[in-house]
Amino acid sequence: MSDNPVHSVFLLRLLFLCSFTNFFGAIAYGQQKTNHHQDYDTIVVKEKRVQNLQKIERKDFLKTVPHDLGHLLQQRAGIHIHDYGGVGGMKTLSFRGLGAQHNQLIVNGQSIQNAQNGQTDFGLIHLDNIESVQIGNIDGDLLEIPASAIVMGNTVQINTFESSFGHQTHEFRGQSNVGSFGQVDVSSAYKMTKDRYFSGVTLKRRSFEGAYPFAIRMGNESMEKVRKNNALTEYLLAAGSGLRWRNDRTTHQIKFFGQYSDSDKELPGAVILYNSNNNQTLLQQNGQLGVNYIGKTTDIKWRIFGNYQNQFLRYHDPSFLNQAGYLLNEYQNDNWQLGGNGAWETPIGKFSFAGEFRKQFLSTNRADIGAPIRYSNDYVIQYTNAWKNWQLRTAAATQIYSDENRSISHTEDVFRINPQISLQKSLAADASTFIGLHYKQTMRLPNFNELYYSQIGNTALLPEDAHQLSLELAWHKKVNQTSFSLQPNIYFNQIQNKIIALPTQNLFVWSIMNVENVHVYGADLQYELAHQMEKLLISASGSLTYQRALDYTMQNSPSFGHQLAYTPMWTTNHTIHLNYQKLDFYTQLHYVGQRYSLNQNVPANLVAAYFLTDFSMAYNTKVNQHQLRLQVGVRNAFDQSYNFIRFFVMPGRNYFAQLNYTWHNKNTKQHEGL
Amino acid sequence: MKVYSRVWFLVFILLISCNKKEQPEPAIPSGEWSNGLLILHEGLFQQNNSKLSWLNLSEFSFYTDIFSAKNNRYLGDTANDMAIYGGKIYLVVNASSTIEVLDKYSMQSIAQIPMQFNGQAQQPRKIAFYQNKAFVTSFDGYVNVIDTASLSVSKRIKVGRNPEGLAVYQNHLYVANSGGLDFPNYDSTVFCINLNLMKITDTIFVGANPGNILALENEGVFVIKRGNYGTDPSELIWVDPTNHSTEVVLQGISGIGVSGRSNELFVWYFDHGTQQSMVHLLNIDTRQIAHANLITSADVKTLYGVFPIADDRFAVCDAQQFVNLGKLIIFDYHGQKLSTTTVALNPNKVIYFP
Repeated sequence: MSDNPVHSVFLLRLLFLCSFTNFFGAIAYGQQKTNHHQDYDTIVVKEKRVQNLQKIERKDFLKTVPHDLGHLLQQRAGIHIHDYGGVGGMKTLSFRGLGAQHNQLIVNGQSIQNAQNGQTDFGLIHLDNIESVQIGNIDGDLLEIPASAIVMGNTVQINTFESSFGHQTHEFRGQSNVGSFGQVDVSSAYKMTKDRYFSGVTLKRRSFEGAYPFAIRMGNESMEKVRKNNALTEYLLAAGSGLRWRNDRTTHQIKFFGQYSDSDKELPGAVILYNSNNNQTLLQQNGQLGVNYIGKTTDIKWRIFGNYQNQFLRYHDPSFLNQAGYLLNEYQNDNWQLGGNGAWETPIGKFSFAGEFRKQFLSTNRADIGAPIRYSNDYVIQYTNAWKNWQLRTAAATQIYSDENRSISHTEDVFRINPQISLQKSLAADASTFIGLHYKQTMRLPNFNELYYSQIGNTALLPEDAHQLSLELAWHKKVNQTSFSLQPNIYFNQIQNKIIALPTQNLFVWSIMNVENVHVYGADLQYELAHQMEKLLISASGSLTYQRALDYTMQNSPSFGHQLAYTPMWTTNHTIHLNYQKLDFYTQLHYVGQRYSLNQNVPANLVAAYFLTDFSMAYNTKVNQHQLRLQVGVRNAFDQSYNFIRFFVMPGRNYFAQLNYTWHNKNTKQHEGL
Repeated sequence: MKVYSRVWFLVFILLISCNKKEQPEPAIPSGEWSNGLLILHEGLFQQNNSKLSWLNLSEFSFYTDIFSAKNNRYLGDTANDMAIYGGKIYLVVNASSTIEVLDKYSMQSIAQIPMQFNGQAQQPRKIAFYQNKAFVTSFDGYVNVIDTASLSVSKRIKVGRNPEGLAVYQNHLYVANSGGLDFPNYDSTVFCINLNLMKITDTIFVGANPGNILALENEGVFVIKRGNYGTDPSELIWVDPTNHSTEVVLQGISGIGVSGRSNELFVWYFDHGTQQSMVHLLNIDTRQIAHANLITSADVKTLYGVFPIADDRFAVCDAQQFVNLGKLIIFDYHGQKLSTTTVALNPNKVIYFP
C-alpha cells in the first residue's frame, strides 16, 4: 500500500519492537515457571471517587455492529457525530457543544495527537480490537489519563485487546463482516496471557466499494443517483506485549504496544448537482509506538510513558485546474510524547500529579506553510478527599506552548493555568449512585492549519477558551429481576474566542479568526433497563440529548442568539434487545433533529431531521471453548434518504452479516492489582 | 409490551412535533415580468443553493426561487454570472459546471448546457455575447464559444490560466486571466481575441490577478487587477483599445460597473480586513472621482455588487458576511436609501426589468 520510504522505516521499527517484546516475554515466561507461588492478589482498588464517565464494554457495543468508533459514539448522550458519509466517511465528534478540537482520543492511556488539524477522525478507528470505550475525563485517580487529556474539554478513552492482560492463556478472535455496497471486513486477533506476561496481535482489512444509490428531493420529484468515487481499502496491524512483577510490596507493570493503519480512499465530497466528476483521493497512514510503565504500592502509584506517532496524509486531486493540472499535497506529522503520573494517598487526602512533554512537527511538500514545530508542556496537580458521603476533587492545569516555524513568522507562546473542581455526594453504599457538580476551564490551541495554512492561516490567533459546568446524577437500582440505570446530566458551557473561518480577502479566500462567543446549555440522559423473565431477557438502553448551542458573538449579527450550524436541538437513540436462549433480537432507533447548515436559523438553511430504524438478529453457540455468533441485520430498514451534513448523502436500506468466532483454552488467574 | 409501545409512540410524536415548519413562499408571479429585479444568488460552495429570485418593485414582494418553481429542479452550486441576450437568459453555474438557458418571458428552461470536456468539469465563470455567439470563460483555461441558436459549444479557444472576466469591445474579446488557482503565482495578463478570426491577437500585461473587466463603447476597456490582497494592492486599469497601452486609473478598487448616468461609472471597494465599503462615481472622460462616497459602510455591510436601475436609482448587493441571507438595497443617486429587502445567500448579479 505504501511507497513512502518513511513509512517503510516505521513498519520495520514496529516489527522490531514487536519481535523484541515477544522475545522479552518469552524470557519472562521461563522465569514465571519458577515463581508461580507468588501471590499478586493484594491490591484491589474499589473506592468511592469523583468521576464523570460513561463506559461502554465490548459485549455491549458489538450488539449493534457499528462500522467504527464514530458510528458507535453517536448512540451516546451528549454526543453529536458530524458524519460525512457512512462507511469510510469522516466522522468528527462534538461533546456537549464543544467542537472536535476540545475532545481528546486516548488509546491505551496515551493521547493521539495531530497538531496539524487538532482533531480525530473517528471513522478511522476500527472497533475490532477495542475492549472498552470511556467518555469523559473527570476521574479522581489521574493514573490512567495523560496530562494532555486532562487539560482538554473531554476525552474518549479506548483500550485495545492486544495491549492488555487477558483472562485466558490463549485467546483467538476472528471476525468477518459483509455488507451492502461491497463491504468486506476481515479481522483476527490472538493473545497469549501467562501469569506474568502477555503478548497479542490484531490484523484487520476492510474494503468497501461504496456505490450506493441516493435520492435528492427537488420540487415534486426526486433526483436518483449513485454515489461515485467512494471506494476504500483499509488495513490495521496492532501488536502489544507486557510484563508484570512484584518486589516486596511494590507491583510493576510494563507494556509495549504499536499500531499501524493504512486508509486509502476515494473522496466523494458533497453531492454537487449536475457535476459528479469527483476523483480526489486521500491516503492516510498512521503509526504509533508506545511504552507504559505503572508501579504501585499501597500508598503510592506512579506511571511513566513514552510515545511516538507518525501520521502521513496525501491528498490528490488529479483534475485540479491549476497550471500543473493536478494537486498533490503531502503532510507528515511527527509527535513525540513523554509523560508521567503519580498519586499519593495520605491521611489528609490523595495528591495526584500528571505531567507531559510533547514535540510535534509538520513537514509538507507545500512551501507556503513552513515547517512548524510545537513544544507543549501540560501539568496537572490534583487533590481529592472524601468525608462520609462527600467527595471533593480540585485540580489546577498548567499549559505551556511554544511554536517555531523556520520559514514564516510563528505565533506567540501561550501560558495558562486553568482550574477544575468537582463535588460529589454518594447516595448509596455502593458508590454507583451519586450526584456530582463539576466545573472546569479548558482551552484548545489553534492548530497548524489555522495558524499557517497558505492564504487562510492567521498567526495572531488566540486559544479558544471553554468553561464547563455540569450537574450529574447517576442512579442504579436492582429490584428482583429488574435493573435500572439512569445517568442524567444538565450543563452549561461557554466558549470564548471561538475560532472560525470567514472570507477576508474575497469569497474564495477565507481566513481563520477568533470571533465567536458561544453559550451551550442542555441536558442529556443515558439509561439502561433490563428485566429477566425465566429464559427471556428484555433490555433497553439509549440516550436522549437536548442541546442549545447559541451564537452570542455580535448583537447586530443576523445569527445572534441562533443555534450553531449542524447542532441538532434533539437527538435520541434507543436499542431494544431480546434474548431467548441462543437467540438475540435487536431493534435500534436513531433520531437526529432538525439543524441548520449555517449559523443563521432561517428555513433556507434548514437540514431535515431523520429517523432511522435498524433490525438484526443473532444466533450464539458454544462448544467447549469455541464460541460462534452469527448476526444478520438491516440498517435504515425504511430506506430513508438522509444526511447529517448537507449533501453528504448517506446510504439507504442496507444489509449486513457478521460472523464472530472466539476461542480460548483455559482460564488464567486474574490479578487485579497488577 | 403495550405500555412500552405507547411510550415509544409518545416520544416519537414529541420529537416530530418539535420540528419547525417552513415559512410558506409567496406564489410565483405569472404573466409578464416587469418593473422588477431579477437577482442571481451565488449561495455557498457545496450547498447547491444558488437561487434565481424576483423582486417586484411595485409591491416589493420577493420570490426567492423562481428557477425551481418554474423548472421543478434546483439551479445548482455557485452561480457566478447572468446575462440576457435576445429572448434568453443565460445563467453561468460554476461548481455545477453548467450554463442554464431560460426563456426570458416564461423563465422556463430551454436548455442546460453541461460544461464538461473529456469527463472533466470546466467550471464556467463569466459570459459575454457577440453576433449570435456566447463566450464563456471557464477555469480550465478556455473561452467556450456557444452558438445561441443551437445552444451547443462550437469552439474552444485556449487562453491563460483560470480566466474570469471577459468583455467585447467592437470586434474584439478581452479576457482577464487570473491564475487564481496557482496562488501566489498569479497570472497577470489580459488576452485580446479577434472575433472575426477567433484567434488571440495580443497579450496585455495589467498586473497580478486580473478579475472583472468592462468594455465601454468609444471609451476602451477597464480591468480590475486584484493583486495579492496584501502588498500588491488592487487597481483599476484602463486599456487603450487602439494600442493596448495601460494606465492605472485608481488604486484600492475591487469592483466596477456601468452606472445609469451617462459618462460615469460605478467603482466600488470592499476591504475584507476592515469590513469597509465604498461606492464612488467615476467620470470616464477625466478618469477622476466625480461623486465620492455615494454610499459607505454605514449603508452596507459586505458590498458585493452595484447595478443601475433606470436613470435614477441603483441597487447594491450586500452579502452580509457571506454566511447570512443577503440584502438588496436600493439608493438614489444622492446616496439616499430607498428600500432594503432581505434576499437569499450571496446576491451577486441584478438585472432590471423595466
